[in-house]
This record gives sequence, C-alpha cells and structure tokens, in this order.
Amino acid sequence: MITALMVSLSFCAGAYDDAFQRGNTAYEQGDFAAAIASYEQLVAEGVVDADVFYNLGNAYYRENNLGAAIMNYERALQVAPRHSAALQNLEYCVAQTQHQWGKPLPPPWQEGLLMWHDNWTPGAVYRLAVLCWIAFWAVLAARLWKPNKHLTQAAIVLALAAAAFATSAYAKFHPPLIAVGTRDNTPVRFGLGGEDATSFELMQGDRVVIDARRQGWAQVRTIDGERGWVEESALALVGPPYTQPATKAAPANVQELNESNV
Amino acid sequence: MRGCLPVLLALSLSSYAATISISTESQTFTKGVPFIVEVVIGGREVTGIDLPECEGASIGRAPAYSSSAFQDVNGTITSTITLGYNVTPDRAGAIVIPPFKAVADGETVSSQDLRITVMDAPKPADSTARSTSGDRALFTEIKTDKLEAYQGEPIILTMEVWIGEGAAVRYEPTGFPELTGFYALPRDVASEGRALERHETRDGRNYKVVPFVQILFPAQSGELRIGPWTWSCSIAFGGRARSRDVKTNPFSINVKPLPPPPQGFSGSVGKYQITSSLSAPSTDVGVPSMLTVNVSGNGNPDAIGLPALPAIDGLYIDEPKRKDNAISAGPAGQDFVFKITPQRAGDIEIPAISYTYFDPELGSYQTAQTNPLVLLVRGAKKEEQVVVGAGGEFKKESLGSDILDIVPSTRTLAPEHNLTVPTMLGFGAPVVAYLAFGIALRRQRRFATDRAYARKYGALKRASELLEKARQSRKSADVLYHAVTGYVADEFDLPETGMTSAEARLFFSSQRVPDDIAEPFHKILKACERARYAASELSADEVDALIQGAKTGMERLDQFLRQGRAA
Repeated sequence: MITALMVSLSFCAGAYDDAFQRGNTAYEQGDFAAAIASYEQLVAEGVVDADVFYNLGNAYYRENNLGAAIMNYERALQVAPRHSAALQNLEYCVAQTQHQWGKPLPPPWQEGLLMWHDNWTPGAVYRLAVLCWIAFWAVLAARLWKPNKHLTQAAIVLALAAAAFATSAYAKFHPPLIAVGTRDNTPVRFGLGGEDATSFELMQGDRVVIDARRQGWAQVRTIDGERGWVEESALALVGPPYTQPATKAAPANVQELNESNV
Repeated sequence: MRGCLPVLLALSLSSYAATISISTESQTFTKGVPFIVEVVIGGREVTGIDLPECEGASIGRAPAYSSSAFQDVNGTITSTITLGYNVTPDRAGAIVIPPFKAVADGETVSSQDLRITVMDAPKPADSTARSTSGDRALFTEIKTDKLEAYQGEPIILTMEVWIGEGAAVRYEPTGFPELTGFYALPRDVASEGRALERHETRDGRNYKVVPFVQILFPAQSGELRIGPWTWSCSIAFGGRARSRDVKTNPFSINVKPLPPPPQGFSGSVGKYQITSSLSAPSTDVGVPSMLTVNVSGNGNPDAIGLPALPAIDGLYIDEPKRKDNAISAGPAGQDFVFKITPQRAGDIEIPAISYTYFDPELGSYQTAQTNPLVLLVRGAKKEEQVVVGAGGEFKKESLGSDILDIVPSTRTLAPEHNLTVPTMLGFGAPVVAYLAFGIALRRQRRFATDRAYARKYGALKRASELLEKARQSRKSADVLYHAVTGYVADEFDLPETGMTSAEARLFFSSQRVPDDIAEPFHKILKACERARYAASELSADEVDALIQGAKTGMERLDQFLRQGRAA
C-alpha cells in the first residue's frame, strides 16, 4: 500500500513538473496565454512555488497585464523572499506603474519585532520554530533528570527562540491582506458604495492593504496612509490563498479549471 | 574752529596743493530722513575741519565714517581723507549747505557750497484705526500697510497693544477681528507678538508695544471690512487691578479686481520667482531622476499653482508631489517634484518652465522663467546578469530595458501540504513526551526511595509467580506459604518471616480487613502449616485448590486495599 502511495505521489509530482515545463515551452515560443494557463493550473492545484509564481508574473507581463504580473512577483517573494529575479522584475514593473507606490508596510509591531525575518522563507522559520520547541522540551526533560543551571539557561534561550520563530512563522503564513490594482483609474471612494466622492484613483499595479471587506467592496490603504473603499473586482489578492486574478488575460481553459475545482 | 578731528594724519609727501570738496549721492532728499554729505580733503597734513551751520538742516558733529587713501601718480604721492557726515533736513524746500573748511598743510581750504531740494515726507496711507478706550495707560491700534489692493494681493494687518510705563498687564492670547472676504494665513500670532515686543515714546509717555501681525489676501473685489478688534486684559495701575476690554474701530479696504488674465495665469498675485534643478545631471535609460521646480514669492503660498511642464520628447513625467516651504521667514514658496524617467539615451533638454503671475506694484501680469536644463541619459546597461531563481542560478539575459527571463525549476513540484497535522504533532508531541518522561522518572525515583511503595507495586505479580512455582515444586506447601506470607508482607510492608496463620488473622483484624477476605489467607496458611509440621506433602488437588484460593484471596485483598487507599 505504501509502495502504491509512493508510486502515485511520484507520478503526480511528475505531472506537475510536466505542466511547468509545458508552461516554460509555451513562454519560450511566445504563446504567453498558454504559458499562463499551464502555470495557473499548477497554482490552482495547490502548488506553491516561487519559480511558478515568478514565471507566471513574467507571462502576465508579456500579456501586458501589469497588475497580475506584480501580484505574482509579490507571491514569489512571499514564498521565497530572496528570489532576486522576482525582486528585480517587481521593481521593473512597479517603475512602469503610474503611481509607483511602494508596498504598504506591515504593522509597526511586526516591523519592530520581526525586522530580522524578512529574508527567511515561511517554511524555514516554521521548521526552526518546531526544532526549537522540541529542543526546549528535550532540555527541560534533561533538566528534570539532572537539574543544572546551564540547562535552565538553555531552556530559556530555546523558549525565546521558539517563540520568536513561531511568531515569525505565524506572521509569514498570515501576511497582511495585500491587493494589487488590476484596472486603471479605479475610483477609491470615501465611503462604501458608488455614491461617495472619490478620495483617490487606483491604477493598475498599485499595491494596497485591505483593512476591511464588505458587500463586494474593500477598504484599502496605501503606503502613504490614504484610505478609501474600492470594488473588490478591481483588485487581485496576493494571498494566501492564491486565487487566480480575474483579469482580461485569464484564458478560458483556466477559468474552466477553476470552475471545476469549485 | 569747531569740530576738530580727533586724529590728524602726518604725511611726508612731495609738493602737493591742499584741496577740499563736498558731495551727496543725490540732489533731492526727504524731510526728516538723514543723508550723508561726503567731505574729501587732499593734503599732506590735515590738522582740522570746520563744520558750517546750515539753515534748514542739522549736520552731525562727528563723522559717520572716515577713510584715507594714498596714490602714486607719475611718481608723485598724493593722499586723501574722506569723511561722511549725517545731515538731517528740518524743512522742505531748497536748502544750501554752506562750504566746509579744513586746515591742511598749514593752509585753510574751503569747499564749494551744495544746493539740495528737500521734499515733504509722503503722507502715510490713512489706514490706521485707533481706539484709546478712555485713558493713556493702555490702548490698541490696528492698521494695514495699504487701504487699496488688488484681489489676492498680500496685505499686512498689524494689531498693536500699547501698554503705558508702570502698568502691569496680564492678557490672554489674542483673537482676530472679523475678516470677511479675506484669506488669512494661519499663524501663531500670540507667540509672535511677544517675540516682536518693542518700546516707543508717544506724546511724551513711554510704552511697551506688543504687535501681532497677520497677512491677509482679499478673496473678492469690492469694499472689504476689517471688523473691530477686541482685546481683553487685566490691568494693574497704581495698585488697583481691573479688567479691560479694548476695542478698535472697523475700517474698510478697497479691493480692485484683477485685469483679464492671460493664458497660463497661475493664479498667484504678488512678486514671484521660479527656479528648477535636477537631482542628478545624468542618469540611465529607465532610471528615474527628480526635477524640482521651486516657486516662491510674497503672495499667498496656498495659491501657488502648478507650473506647466511641457511634454518633453524621450521623458516620461509623473504627476508632481508638492512640498510646502516654511512661511515664517522669507518668501513663502512651494517645491514641485516631478519624477522624470528617460526613455532614450542622449542629451534631453528640459526647456524653460514659465510661471505667470500678477504683480500688483506694476499692475500687470508678469512671467517668470527657469533656465533650461539638460539631462544626460546614458544607454541601458547591457552587461549580462545571472537570473537567480528560488533554486539557484540559471541563465543570463541582458538587463535594463526588459524583465529578466523565466527560470526552470530544479525541484520537484508538489502541492503544498496542509500543515495542521504536522504543526499539532510538532508542537504537541514534545509536550506529551515530556510528561511521559516526567511520570516515568518520578516513578523510578519513588521505587528507589520509597521501599514500601516498591514492595506494594509488584506484590501481586511476585506472589502469582511464586504460586505458579508452587504447582511444580516438591515442597509446594513451603512455596505456597512463602508466596502468601510474602504477598501480605509486601502489601503491608512487614517483615516477611515469622507470620503464622494466627498472626495473620490477628494482623488482618488489626487492619480492619473484612473476615470474608482475611479468612482464605488464614485457611491457606493453616493448611500449609499442617503440611509442613506434619511432614506430609499436599496432594496435587489440594495444591491446586490452595493456589486458586490464594489467587482469589490476593485479588480480593488487592481490590480491597486499592478501594481503601482511594477512599
């Protein structure tokens, strides 16, 4: 049974690699819509990989979909903060947006407490948190067996490290709800609904934080602290969860795939 | 001789004739406004100067400044002494300044006379309203620098409190008069008033003057009214303190409309200048640079409009960001910072940027311009760079005008696992393991230290094993006896040897063990004693029955003791 499971898993893994390769081939041949379909299929099936997001961002960029490209570069950097190619392409794309807004900053407590973890992947801090936690209890057990002041100190250090890595892991797995504008000249209004005056305009590729969501509208905040309500349909959520942006470049077969998943 | 110089120069010069002359900067002066008469004396040794009396003007007794100079002209060294005297005209009209005389090189020389025209001082605009409110100890004054202005032209409104010498005044931060139709700059007038305090004499009385200044910009044309200004204080004079409200009279400003504006009028009224600068004189294609355009002037800083930046070939220009300059000192202004991104290499000229404003002094529209700037744009960087994906370095591609290429993945792709179970295991298992370890360690330590506990813990098991041995033993009565007495001794932590059936009965009774539980032990021990002392072996059936009875008895006693401990 285990063998059957292993064979099944390796077969599935091979299928994902094939889909990725198909996307790369399509991209190289200039068929960016097909490349997007292949990459999006992987994302829809739960593959969370920085290279997939990065290549998807490139494909969207080639399809002149700046918002979706920026969103996917953000996703790639969320999964692998040291993905230098994604970082460079993100900067390149942001420089092409009209506002050239920076990414909204995390809350001040997070910036202060977790400034050290920016370059760590979520998986790395998660594993370190578990390791420190196990080591902490192991040291406690050793201390129980043979009390020793050094073991007490080690336990305190490990407890603090476990808490720090666990907080970091939580913050990385639950990042602020960042969204990217997918349309130009989207009015961001002072109030919910379409009646209120426009506070400012959101352009394609602008990154904002979502503070609240209500009745198909999202209260967004820019890096400069400007706030307002905008229709959610004009935004693409960076995630997680990694849903496909509702964009003009969304190929039909991917939409079908998503519908079938639903 | 009057007005001698305190310092006389002794000069050794060649033959030179002494001279004296006087001059002024202009021929026309204003009554009451001092001006300088410059006296130039040439000679080797000047021993004195005689200042004349002047009808209609007073001449200062001491020079405001003095200087000396030496010259070598064709081998002849000459020298001059220059003295400047303050002269204040006392009346209007034509005034003749008589000749100045000096003693130089032993001879008296005289200058020419000087004719000047003195004009009456221009009457200040009748823009002052004053209220003395009853006495000279305290009054307030409100005035503007002009009574007629153009719409949007800055008007300085000065509100002054005159506090007579000897009066002690305590006052609250002042308010403003009613200023309908004006745009007033927000300023902390109270603190400014204290900072600008001065002392003046009026009508022979000394005053401390506390001014408050406000800048007004008429927002509409017509007669605009500056309402009464009420100033409240508590004044102590001659030992008595009383509250006072001092109120000025209202007055009006005549505001003229602006003439029809030309195309591109910025909306600013006043005197303005515009400058521009680049954050860096050179950049690369695609790398933005900052163009800062500064507009400053004496008009309303909040009305400074965005300078029109023409479209420039090869430059992508963003919406500018405004940066206000401080208005507390110097002309107010605003910086407009444009992010400009070159899209081609080469020299890109940023043409002159115009700013059209209305100059109220000239009564016409004026246009200020910046100087043209040149941005040197280098070509895109073409050096090859390595594309680094999550899994490592992959391929090279030129940078600068495009995104980096896609990357192949070196890892096997798989859907992300749900981390709920691993998280629960990872964080829960160590705690469970620690608790189990702690319990085991505690039990082990109790076994090592608590003998009674250790005996009790394995009593039934050990007795059961002995009972099984009794079945195969030739001396089954002995083994059975030891199993039963050993069990009782372990359970109650007693010495194992020497317990007879009678002692067992007594012991169980002392421990309040019910008879139905104690009796089987008594019977078994008695049977064993009989067999041992009678030197006769028990039959197999008897052994089985006794073993079975012992097991049952032990289990019941064990159960009874557990219940008793629990209770």
